Amino acid sequence: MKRQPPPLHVAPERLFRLLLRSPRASLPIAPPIAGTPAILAVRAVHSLDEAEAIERHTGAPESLRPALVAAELTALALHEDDAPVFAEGTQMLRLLTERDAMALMRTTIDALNVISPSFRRIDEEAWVRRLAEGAKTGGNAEQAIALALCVEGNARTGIPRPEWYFGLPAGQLTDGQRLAFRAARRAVFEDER
Amino acid sequence: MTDKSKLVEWLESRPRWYRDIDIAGAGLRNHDGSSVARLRFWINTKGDDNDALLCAYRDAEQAARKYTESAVAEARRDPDFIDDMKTVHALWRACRNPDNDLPAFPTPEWVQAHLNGHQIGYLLNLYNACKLAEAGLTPSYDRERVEAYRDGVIAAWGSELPERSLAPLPREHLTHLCLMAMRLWHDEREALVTRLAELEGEHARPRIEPGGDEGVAG
Repeated sequence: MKRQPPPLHVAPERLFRLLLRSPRASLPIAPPIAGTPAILAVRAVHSLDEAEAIERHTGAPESLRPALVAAELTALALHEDDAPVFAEGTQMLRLLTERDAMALMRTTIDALNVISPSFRRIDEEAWVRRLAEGAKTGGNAEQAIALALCVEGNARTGIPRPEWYFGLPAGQLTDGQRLAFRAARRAVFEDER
Repeated sequence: MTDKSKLVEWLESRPRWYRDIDIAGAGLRNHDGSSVARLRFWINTKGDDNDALLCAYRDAEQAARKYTESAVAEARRDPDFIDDMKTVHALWRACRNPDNDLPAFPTPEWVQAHLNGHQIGYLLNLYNACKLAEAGLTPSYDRERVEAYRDGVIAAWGSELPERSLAPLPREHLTHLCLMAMRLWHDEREALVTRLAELEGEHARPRIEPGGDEGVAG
C-alpha cells in the first residue's frame, strides 16, 4: 500500500501551524449540503479512536465497510460549537441521502488528511521533512524551538516530552502533534533523525 | 451525547424530498385487485440503502441455505443475486403510498413474490430518475445538442459508431434525448404542414387580373 504523502496544497508553514493546535488541530468546513445553516469544524482524530472506528465494522460485508468506516471517522471528527455533530456514523447515514453523505464524508476525510495524519498510513519521513520546512519559516521558529526543547534532561539526548508543549496527558496526543514534535526537533537540531 | 447539534436538528426538521408519479399503466395491483394509480417516491437515505444491502445478504443466505450449506458463501459472493435483492429492498423503502406516506407494498418479500422483473425494472428507472431530479441533475437536451447528435449519427450511418456513441449514456439521458427528438420532430412536421397549407392556399386563390372590374357582373 502506498503511504500517504503530506498534502502539497497546504503550505508547509501552515501545515506545521495547524498541527501545533491544542487540544486538537481543526479546520472549518462548510458542509456540502444545500441549505445547511451551520459552519462545522473538522477535528483531528486520535489514533486509538481511528483504530476503533475501523475495527467496529470488521464484520460488515466488504462492500459496505469503507462507507461505514468513513461515516464513523466523519462522526468522530465533525464538531459544531466544540461538540460532536453526530452521535455516531450510523446517525449521519440515517439522515442523509447517499449523495449528501458521500459529499460530507469526502469533505471531512479531505480535511482529516491534512490535520490528522496517522502513523499507520502516512509516509512518515516525507511528512517530517515537509513539516520541518514549515517549522523554520513563516514566523514558526519560536514555536518550533519551544516545542523542540520539550525534553526531560539534556536538550539533545533527554526524554521527549511533547505533551508539555500541548498541555495534555501524553496519551491524548494525536499522531499529528507527535509528528510536529519530530519536525520541530529536526528543524532545530538539523541532524536529528 | 444528549443534546442534538444544530445540524442534526436541521436535518431532522427538513421535509423529505418526494415526487408523486402516475403509474396507472404499469399494471401494478393493490390487494383488492384495483390498479395502483400513483406512487410516491422518496429518496432513500444512505442508512436505508445500507439496510437494503444487509437485508439482501441475509435473504441471499436464507435462500441458499434451503439448498445446501455450501451454497451460502456462493450466494453472498454473487453480485447479480445481491444486486437484485438490494433493489427490491431499496424500492420497498422508497415507494410510498401518496395518501399516507406508508410503504406502498406490504413487504419486500411481497414485492419479490408479486412483481415481475419488468415491473421492478420500471420502478427502479422511475426511482433513479427521481434521484437525478432530487440532485438537480435532470438531463436536458436542447435543440442544438439533439441536432449535434443527429448530425453525428447521420455522418456515421451504417457504421457501429452511432450505437457506440449512445451506449454510455445513462437511461435517463437516453429518455430525455428521445423525448426531445420527438418534440423537435413534431415541431418540424407542424412547420412543414403549415407551410404546405400556405402553398396550397396560394395555388387555390383566384388570380385577379390587373385593372379588372371586381364583383361587377356584365
